[in-house]
Amino acid sequence: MQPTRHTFADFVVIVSLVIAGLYLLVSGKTSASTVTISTTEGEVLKLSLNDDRLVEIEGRLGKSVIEIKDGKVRFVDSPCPHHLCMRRGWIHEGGDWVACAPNGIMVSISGDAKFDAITP
Amino acid sequence: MDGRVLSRLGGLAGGAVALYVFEAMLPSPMPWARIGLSNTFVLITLFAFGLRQALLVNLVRVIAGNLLLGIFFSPAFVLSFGGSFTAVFLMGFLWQRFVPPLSVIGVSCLGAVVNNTVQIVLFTLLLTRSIIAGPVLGGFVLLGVAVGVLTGFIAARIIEKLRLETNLHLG
Repeated sequence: MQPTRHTFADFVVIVSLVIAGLYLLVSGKTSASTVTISTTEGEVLKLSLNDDRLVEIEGRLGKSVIEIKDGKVRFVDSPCPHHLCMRRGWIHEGGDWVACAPNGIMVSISGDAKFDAITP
Repeated sequence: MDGRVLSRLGGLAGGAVALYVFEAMLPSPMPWARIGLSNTFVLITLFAFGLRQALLVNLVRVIAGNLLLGIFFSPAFVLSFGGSFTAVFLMGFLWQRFVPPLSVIGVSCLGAVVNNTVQIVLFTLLLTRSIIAGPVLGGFVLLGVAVGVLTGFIAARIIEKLRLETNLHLG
């Protein structure tokens, strides 16, 4: 038996590695993202990023309005003094978050933190 | 180690370094990623001489190659070192235990896939704080299989030639 002739076992190894590679390639692309809205009062809402809706939630200072639309989330209104949460605009990537600190409301999207190939 | 074996190993290590440096010049989507063609020489060494000699050729390739590229001890060097040594140890184990069912091509494929996987795992552990993205790993596994088949076939032809030319012991 020469070790330089390809064998049936080689074929099995190659096919199983290709299947494993393709499985990894398609998995994770279809993960449905969820939005978590939590307040300092301990209220936690888990909503799908795919269902468009307006959420009104009571914080320390008053009522905040959060909009979910087209797979993105933003603060529409909040009773905080500087409106930094509203200026943050839309967020949509897994691991991204936006918070209204004065009102004690945190909005985050579940999933892996984003990274690219170059930035460590 | 007699002079004939030593000269052969020198030639194989030189070829591995040359291909390694050439590969770094090819355009790549990621600056530290390589195709892995220089693994051909490590495979030839493993099948024609043995695991100890293959480790030696790999050591020369990684150190001399990275010195020539000017990235010795950089993060890319750590990835290259970790990935290639894990792959050589695995290929050595497969060569000793599983070569009757497997041939050079299967060993080469598994080595290339393990090399890529270890590199991407080290990359995410050392340079990012996120967990490994499945699609990225899948892409590297598929790339590893393709390169593994290519280097396996090339190595098989050269091992046959080496066996005809000399009466060296073959595994």
